[in-house]
Amino acid sequence: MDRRRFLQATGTAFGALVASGCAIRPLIPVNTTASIYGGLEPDPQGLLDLPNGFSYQVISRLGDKMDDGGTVPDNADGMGCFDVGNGHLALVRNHELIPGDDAGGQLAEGYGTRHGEVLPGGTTHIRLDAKTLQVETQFRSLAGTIRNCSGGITPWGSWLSCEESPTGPGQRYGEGLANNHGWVFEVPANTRGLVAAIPLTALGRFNHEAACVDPDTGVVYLTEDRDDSVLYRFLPKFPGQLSKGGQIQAMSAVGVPDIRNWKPTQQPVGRSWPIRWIDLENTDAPADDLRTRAAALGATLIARGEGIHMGEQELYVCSTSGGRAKLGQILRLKPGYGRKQDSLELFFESESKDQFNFGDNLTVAPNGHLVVCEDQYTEVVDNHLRGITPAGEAYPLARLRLQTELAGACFSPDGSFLFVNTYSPTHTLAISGPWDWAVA
Amino acid sequence: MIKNPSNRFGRRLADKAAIGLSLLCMVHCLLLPLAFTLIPALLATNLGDERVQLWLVLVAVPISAFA
Repeated sequence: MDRRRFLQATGTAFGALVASGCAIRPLIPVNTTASIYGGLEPDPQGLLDLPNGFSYQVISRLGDKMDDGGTVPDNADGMGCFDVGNGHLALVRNHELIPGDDAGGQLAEGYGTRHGEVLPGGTTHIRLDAKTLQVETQFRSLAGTIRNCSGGITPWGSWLSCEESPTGPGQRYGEGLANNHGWVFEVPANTRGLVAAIPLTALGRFNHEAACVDPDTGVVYLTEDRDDSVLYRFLPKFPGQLSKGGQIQAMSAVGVPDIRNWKPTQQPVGRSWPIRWIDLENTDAPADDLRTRAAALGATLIARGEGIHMGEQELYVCSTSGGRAKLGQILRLKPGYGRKQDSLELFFESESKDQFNFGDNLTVAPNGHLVVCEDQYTEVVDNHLRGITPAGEAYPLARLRLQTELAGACFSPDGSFLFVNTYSPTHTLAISGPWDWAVA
Repeated sequence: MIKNPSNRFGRRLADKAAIGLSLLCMVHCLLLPLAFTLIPALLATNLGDERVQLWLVLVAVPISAFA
């Protein structure tokens, strides 16, 4: 090598370094305004009305024979979608079943029993082709739990399944139970069968609803479905290893002891507050009093914290019955990542039933809108999927024609399909359409 | 626009490795010209001496045979 070739080689190396610095800079999205898809067209099958250009197919339903000898159980609730490689997806689907409900067959093992019988709550797995949606296999993946309401995906490829059931021996609804319940369980997306059901006790015992994980920090955010709930977060000792312990904290928006807006003094939509986090102790809470102890320490009250979804360095929380009209709020939390203080914004609040009525699970669509599943508690329900634009405008995205709720909305990783469940009878639907459509 | 998160969870270790390798690359690029200028100085050492070669063989052969 001569000097000229040496300089060429080192020059190329430094040039490549400079170029690589440019290449990893994120692309700035084109600014677009809100997109609304137009009116809903009646579904001839009487299941789900969708806008023109959208269609659905049923990929799994109550009673379908599964590959482990069981059948698809009822009460399909929260759900996560994972790319498991080789062109396959895995849907991990919660079943909010209580003792005495049909589990869809005999369960070999699980976390808890009642009178010696494995409890029916848990998850089922659907592995399917990512393009054709052909179901490859369905099987039970978690058992022995109670009222697995929702949960959340982790960035390391698992589903957190949340028990909305702080009960146990000697407690209300605890007759015949062998163990305490009200925990979170982890189900790897790539499992091929029933997993060992081990409660993640470090994530606390309360009326768990849902969870999301910040991929930048591994911090887990957790909601509780109570009228007087608070928002929790879990700081793991080792990110990605939740069983190894950590610290649970409750959120306190500075100067806002209560964001439910049920009292005459109300917080305005669009306003933000700095937040601090309060350490909580005795988080296995035998008396199911974690939220009341948190509130006594200054945590902000939230009305029925339900769906929670991680966006890009911000997360969205559904408060199902929050707001002046008690029809629902959506909160936006922005972690500060050590550069600034975390903050909370009242992002949206419904003023009428036509606008938004009892939002529950939520996700983010490829076009940058929120997609929220309604779960009304009236005798006759009229549940929709609602879209919400980044400007906070709600619009109908789909209307369920059954007297049940929509749950578990989640997109395939490539954004082609929105998967969603009808709660009872169980249907898992894949909705395709112009999800990336954003009209100026 | 509301966005889904980029999954950087598994990339943090990769990021650190990439930074380390880039630093190593930079050190390599900076030191190599210096090393070249020192090549003539190697002639002044005893590395070409027959006794050095002999000792190298005496060490290398038994270790190679054992390995």
